[in-house]
Amino acid sequence: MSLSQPDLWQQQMRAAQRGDAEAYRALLTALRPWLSAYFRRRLQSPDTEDLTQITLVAVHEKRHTYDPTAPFMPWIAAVARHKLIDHVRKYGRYVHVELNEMNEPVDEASLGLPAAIARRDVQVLLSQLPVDQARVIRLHKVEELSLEDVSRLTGKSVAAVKVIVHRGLKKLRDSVGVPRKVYEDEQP
Amino acid sequence: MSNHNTPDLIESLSQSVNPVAPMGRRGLWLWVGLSLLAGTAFVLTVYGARPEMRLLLSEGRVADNLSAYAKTAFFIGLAALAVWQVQATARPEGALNRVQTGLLGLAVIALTTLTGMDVALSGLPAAMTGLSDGAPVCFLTILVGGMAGLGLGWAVWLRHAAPGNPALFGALSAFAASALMTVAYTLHCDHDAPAYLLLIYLAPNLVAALIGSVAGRWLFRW
Repeated sequence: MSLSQPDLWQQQMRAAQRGDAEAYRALLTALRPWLSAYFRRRLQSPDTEDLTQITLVAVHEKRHTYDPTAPFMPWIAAVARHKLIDHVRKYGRYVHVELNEMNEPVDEASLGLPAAIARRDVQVLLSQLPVDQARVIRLHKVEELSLEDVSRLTGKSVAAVKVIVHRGLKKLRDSVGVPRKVYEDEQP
Repeated sequence: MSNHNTPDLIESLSQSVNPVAPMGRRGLWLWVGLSLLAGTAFVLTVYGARPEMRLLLSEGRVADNLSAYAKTAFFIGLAALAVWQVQATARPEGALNRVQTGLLGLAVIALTTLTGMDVALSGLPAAMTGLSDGAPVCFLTILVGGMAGLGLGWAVWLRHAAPGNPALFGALSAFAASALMTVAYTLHCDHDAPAYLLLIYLAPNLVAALIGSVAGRWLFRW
C-alpha cells in the first residue's frame, strides 16, 4: 500500500530524527519543490530559492522540534511561514496572499500548499478579527460574493462593507508584520 | 546562502544528519523544579520563612491555617498556567491555548477586582498599607530572581525551542520564570493585601514579561 505524501514525509522525518541519512535526503529533496512553490505563491521576488535554502537549513537545525507523534505538514508549513515572515520583515518584500486559494483543490503537479493547510492559515488569521468583520471578509474574499451580495446578506451598506473589508485586511496585514501594498485589491 | 546550489546543500545536510532526541517536556519540568528549588533555597536562607508557616510547621499543625498558603497556591496556579503556555508555544506550529490564556487573564482580573474592592471598602490609605514596608525588596527579588530563572531556563531547555513567535515566547518564558520566583517568595513574605499582591507580586511578573518580549526577539530567534 503506498503512503500519501504527508504520511511519507512524516515517516521520513521520523527516520531523519533517528539519523537515517537516506530518508533525510529523500525528504529534503521532496521538500525543495514544495517550498519553492510555497514561497513563489507568496513572494513576488527572485528570492524564493534563497528562502528555500534557508528553510531547509532551519529544518535541519530545528528538526528536534518536530513531534514525531504529530502530523508533519503543520510543522513544515509553520517553519516555512516563520522563514517567510522573517524574510519579509528583513527585506520589506511584498507578500501576495490569495485568500481564495484555500478553496482550490491541491494541485499535486505544482506541489502547492495543500488546501487544508492554507485553509487553516486563513482561519487562524480571520479568527483574530471581530466576528462581523471576519464574516464580511470571508463572504467577499473567500466566497467571492460581490459587494452588493455581501451587503444584502449582512444588512450593511455597500460603502460599509468596503470599509470593513479594507480595515480588516489592514489588521490582518499588521498582524503578520507585512508592509503596505501587500494586498493589491484592498482599496475600498 | 545561494553561493551553494540547493542539491549540494541537501547533500551536505543529509551527510551531516545525526540522531536527535525530539524535544520533550523533561527539560521544561527540570527547569521548573530547579527554579523552585533554587528560589526557595535563596528566599528561606536570605529572608527566612513566613512566621505563620514556620509556626505551623514547627508545631506540626500544617493544615490548621490554610489561608497561610492561599497566596502561594494562587501564584503556583499562575506559574503553572504560564509554564503550560511556554510549552504550547515552543514549537513552530505551536499556539496559545485559549483556555489557559483565559484563565491567566481571569487571575489578573480577579486580583485587580479584589484590589478595587479593598480600596472601595477600606479606603485608599488602608488598602495601600505596607506598600512602602520592604516593598522594593519584594519587587526586586521577584524581578531579578525571575530574570535569573529565565537564564536558567535558557541553559536547561528554552534554547532548544523554535517558537513561531519569539517575542511572545520570550514574554511567556520570562513571566513563567518570574511567577516561579514569586511562588518561592510567598514562603517568606507576610503581606497579603490585594493591592500588595497586585503591585508588588504581579507587577514584576508583568515587567519581566515585557523585558522577555524584547529579549525574546533575539534570544529565541531562529
